[in-house]
Amino acid sequence: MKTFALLALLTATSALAQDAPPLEVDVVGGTNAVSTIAVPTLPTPADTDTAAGRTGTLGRQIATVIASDLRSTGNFTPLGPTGIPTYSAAEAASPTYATWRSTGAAQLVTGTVEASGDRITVGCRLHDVAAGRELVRQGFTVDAADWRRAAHKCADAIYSRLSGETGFLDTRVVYVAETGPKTRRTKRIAIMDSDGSDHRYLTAGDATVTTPRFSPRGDRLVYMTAAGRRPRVRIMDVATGKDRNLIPGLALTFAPRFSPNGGQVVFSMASGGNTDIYVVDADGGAPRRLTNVPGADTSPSYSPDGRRIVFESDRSGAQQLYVMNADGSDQRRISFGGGRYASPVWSPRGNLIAFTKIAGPFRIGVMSPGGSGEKILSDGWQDEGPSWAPNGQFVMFNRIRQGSGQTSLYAVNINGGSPRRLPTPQDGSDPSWSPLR
Amino acid sequence: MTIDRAELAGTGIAVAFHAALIAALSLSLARVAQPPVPPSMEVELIDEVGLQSAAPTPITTPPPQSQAPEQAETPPPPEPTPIPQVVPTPAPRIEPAPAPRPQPAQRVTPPKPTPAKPAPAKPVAKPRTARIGDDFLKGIADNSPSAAPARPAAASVSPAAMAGIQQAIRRQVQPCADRQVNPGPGASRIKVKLHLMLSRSGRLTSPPEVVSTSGVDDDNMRYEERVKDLAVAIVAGCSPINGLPQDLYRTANGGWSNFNMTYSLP
Repeated sequence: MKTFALLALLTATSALAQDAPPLEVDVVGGTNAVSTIAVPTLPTPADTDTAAGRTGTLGRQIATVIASDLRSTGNFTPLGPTGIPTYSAAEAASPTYATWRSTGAAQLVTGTVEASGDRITVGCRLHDVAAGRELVRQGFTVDAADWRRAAHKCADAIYSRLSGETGFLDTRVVYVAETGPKTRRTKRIAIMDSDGSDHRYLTAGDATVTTPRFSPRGDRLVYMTAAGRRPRVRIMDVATGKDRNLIPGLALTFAPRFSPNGGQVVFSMASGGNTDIYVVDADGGAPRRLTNVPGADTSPSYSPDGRRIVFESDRSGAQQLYVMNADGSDQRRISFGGGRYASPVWSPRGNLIAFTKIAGPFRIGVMSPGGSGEKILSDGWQDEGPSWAPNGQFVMFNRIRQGSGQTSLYAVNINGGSPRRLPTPQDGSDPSWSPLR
Repeated sequence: MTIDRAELAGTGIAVAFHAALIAALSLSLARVAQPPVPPSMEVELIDEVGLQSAAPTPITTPPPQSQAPEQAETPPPPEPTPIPQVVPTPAPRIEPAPAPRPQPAQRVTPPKPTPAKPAPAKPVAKPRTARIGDDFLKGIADNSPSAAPARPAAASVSPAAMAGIQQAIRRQVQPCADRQVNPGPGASRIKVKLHLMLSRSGRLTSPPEVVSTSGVDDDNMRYEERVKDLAVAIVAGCSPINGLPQDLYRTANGGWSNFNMTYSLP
């Protein structure tokens, strides 16, 4: 009887406490510092030979690429793969978190590399070390020779989970590779992974080329060539290298860019002493004129919804930025800061326009499509030619050094930070970031 | 005036009885029992006060998990008395009341809790003074060493005590909050409310539950999941939460057994 009475009393007390509103505690805290992430070598259940080497070796190489990718985002300080603990393939799913806490890492990347015929499967897991829980679990099966892509995919998954942004590391970059003295530069279109690997040339260098731009699917390029001393826009299939003139005949065309659906190309054409903006189907057809104001209208770029176009024009007496509807109507100037503005590019997210600002030095900046909120992102002597990463968080551009004239590719986070140089075998200019593969 | 014999005899008897009475009184045979004098109460005046508690003061009953037989098994020096003949290692105990135990089961002094060793549950049959079984006790008790089973629950939590608990929790999780990396601009507008349930030792008894998020808009919605991660990591990284008053663990108007933590980036 006494037991029942005690039970009843406890039950009543518990019910009372549960009915009471919970205590409320507010906590505010955080830092803008970069996050430390451990990327140890990926183990393999069985060290197997593949076309790209043994899986044990690939595990270390993949971890190295993941760490390098994460460092390039500017959001992380990677630890490893050397100099930190390792783990077995069986532990990839449930690492000993205490071990990794002692390294000072906030996050941990684990995974495995397994071979199956000519292909490998790369397991990729992200763990929150402090909370002791898994945040990401993905696997990528690729040809063994494409192991770098699996590493990029893993890095993208990690970056995306921890930053909230979509990935951008499994991408490619086309640019103009430059060699030779200033007066006799050889310019070739080159393509590479966004970390500088898998580099190759797409044109031979017998004619000057500029402004290569990827199609939205990354399978085609438009660019300008000065072969025969006449600027012409050409369109190229990236896989085969085959290309053709965008506009038949002898028209002087330049500054091309694909529409968001890839079906049209917008470009500039000089005719009768005037330069205007035109649009044409990417597969051919008659160009349609969008501007007809006296002056040079050039560098057109579509908004991601394809309904508007930003371009530069000197119709007011100096280069400034203008926005118009995709049919050419409602042309309005949006840049009113001091200096000149050139080479505008609409962000893939639609919220910003990147540009080159010329006010003494050349700088890269961003502003809203309405022209407000101008922000300068770079501080070089001559920075120009912006191109957006597919996630709209980074802008790539080329920087020309004062004096030497050397030009290199850089990328900068639109939220701030120092521009990071991309490695290229020669000088590089006019970069264009591919969509995410 | 003459005195007859009868009067003389009567007077003599009276004198004799008076003398006997005086003698009896002198020998304390007629002492009356005095009422006992109550012991004096000692009062100590102090300047400092702790968290205000509405607990019904003093402890008159021992905490549930410290019953006499268990207590007898866990004195600080565990084996001081010789157990002469049998093997030294865990011998199966068969005798219900082993002889070497120094403390009888009927001790009236309050048992001393021994935080270092929280009464291991032994499947051996032992004499008990209560009719409530071990399982029941475990169900309501926290067996961790840091649990302090010294005071019963308070009837209610005062606002001042509530504020003290809030500050104590905030103080302990703040270092973990300060380590969280801001994922990007606009993330600081997001507020994540977690519901947390703690044991008496301050440990999470279940994974943190996201109750709600606020401040999410088109610009920062990509950071929502990450800020939830950060909130969970704060709690996981800085628990157990120590030093909270045991008597306020659960009361009629709340306590720290469960609480909501709202996290945001600066």
